[in-house]
This record gives sequence, C-alpha cells and structure tokens, in this order.
Amino acid sequence: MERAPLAGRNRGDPVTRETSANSPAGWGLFVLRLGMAAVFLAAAIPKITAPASFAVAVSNYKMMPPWGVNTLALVLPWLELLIGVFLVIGIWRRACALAMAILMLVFIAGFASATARGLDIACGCFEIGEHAKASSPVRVVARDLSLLAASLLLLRFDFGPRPLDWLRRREPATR
Amino acid sequence: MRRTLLQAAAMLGIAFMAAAISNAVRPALHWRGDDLDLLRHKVPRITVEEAARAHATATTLFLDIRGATEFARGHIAGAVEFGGADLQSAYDELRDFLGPEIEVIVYGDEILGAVRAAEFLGARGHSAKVLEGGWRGWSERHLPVETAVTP
Repeated sequence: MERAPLAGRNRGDPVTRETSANSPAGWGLFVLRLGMAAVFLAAAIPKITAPASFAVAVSNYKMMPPWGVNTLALVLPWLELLIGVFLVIGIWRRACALAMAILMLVFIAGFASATARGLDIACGCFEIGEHAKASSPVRVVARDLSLLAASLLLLRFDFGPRPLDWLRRREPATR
Repeated sequence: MRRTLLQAAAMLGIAFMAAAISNAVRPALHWRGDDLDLLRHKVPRITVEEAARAHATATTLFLDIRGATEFARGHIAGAVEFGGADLQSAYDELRDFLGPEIEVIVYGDEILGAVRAAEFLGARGHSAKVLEGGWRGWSERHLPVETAVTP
C-alpha cells in the first residue's frame, strides 16, 4: 500500500501527511467528524425506534412505490447509524464521507423535488411522527448543503487523530 | 477510490442486514409495502381541537391503541384500551358498547396503527376517526388525561 506523503504527489490521492495526524488541521477534521457523527446518530435513532412513522414521512414525498418507501424506511436509519458509529471510532472514514455526501445529494434532490411539486411536508430528517411540522424548504436545503460541504471536505482530507489508534495504543496512521 | 467504494457498498450491505434482523425481531413494516396502502385509504381524521369538543359529549368513545403500559402511564380521560396485534378479539370485547350512535376516535403514537384500527372499525359499520396528532397532540395541549387505576 503506497503512502502519499504530501498533497499533489499523486493526483487524486486523499491528502495525507506523515506528521499531520496531530496538527491543528487534523484536530479540526477530527472535530468535524465527531460533529457529523452526532448529526447522523441523532437522525438515525428516532427512526430506528419508530420505522412506521418514518415510513409515513417518506411516503409523504410521493416519490416511490410502497415497497421502496418501506425499504428506505427500514434501511436508511441503520446506514445513518453505521456512519455515525464508524465516524466516531474512526474506521472507513472516506467511505463514510462518500456515503454522507451521496445521502445529502439524495436528500436535497428529494426535498427540492417535493417542494417543486407543491408538497408542504416535514423533511423527516430528525423529527418524525404526528407532531412533526412541515419544514421550511430554505432551511432544509441550506442545512443539507452545509452537511454536503462538510462531507466533501472529509472525503478530500482524510487525516487527523483516530480513536481506533488510541484503543490499539498505536502511532496515528498516516492513511 | 476503489477501496472506498467497496467499503461504502459494504456499509450499505451491513445496513440492509441490520434492518432485516431488526424488522424480523420486532416487526414494524412489511418489506412489500402493502401496509402503507392503508394510508391511501380515506380514513376520516379529526383534529385535536374538534376531538376536545367531542370529548364532552356522551356519545364519543376514545380508543387507545398504544398498549397496556403506555395506557397505564397516561391516556385520554375516559379512553378505552384497544390494543394489541389482534384487532378482532379487542373488537369482540368492545362490540357491545359500540352502538350506532357512538362516535369512535382512535389515537396512538404512530398514525399507521390508528389508521389500521379505524379502518377495521369503519369496515364493520362504525364511525371511526383517527386523531391527528395522536397522544402527544392531546397531552401537549393539557387536555383531560388520566392514569390507569389498578383495581
């Protein structure tokens, strides 16, 4: 497995630096990862405990047949949970970032589509169930765009402290 | 990048398996989505405000579909349990009280359960509406509630 010591050495490689693991930038990325993990865990848990309510929220978008709605309602929360947990531990970080970026794109497209069709619905992102109010499209899209930007950043820059290394009492990995 | 893609695909696969196991252990939704069709049926609904007004009349009956524990913890004043997966036996117990003049309002935590119950009753000729907002909608407005009194 080759190492990419500095940015630019091999185009397209994620930027990693040998000494960057504990640099301020590295810690910044670490904090960003934890923040994104918190977002995804907060999103996942209410949906895992109430899949039927989440299915209702998804069906409000009127974009998929019923089997698609239920499949999404069952699987998506677990994917979000997995992303959150992996980000906290610090494994498969770029895969998590990629998954987050794709999900954000899907959410933005979905909500924009629903809004364009005149549907006034709750986004179903964090709050689901009967008491969830309809979401303001501007707020939802703005929030999702910043989450998208964060995930793309984490996809591009993959260094920083990793709790997994602390557990194994190892030097921070450079990849 | 290829490793990243493989890992992402693996995460999706793990999520699928987790969902399958979770739904098998605690069934929540049908993978085929046929339970969602219930929402497409025109089951009449009623807002909390209207239900509060109806609460005062003697011919209104509130049915709580959340289950015994939740019911004991707090339910709409005068409501009756109508819980469990077996709607038929719950209905058999209640049938004598459901005269033609009785207006039923069904509520729960998740609308799908209330819709199921209301549709079940509606199909048997009763006037059953789903409370929009559910238990939370009612209790948040500090409308009459009571806790179960153990005999």
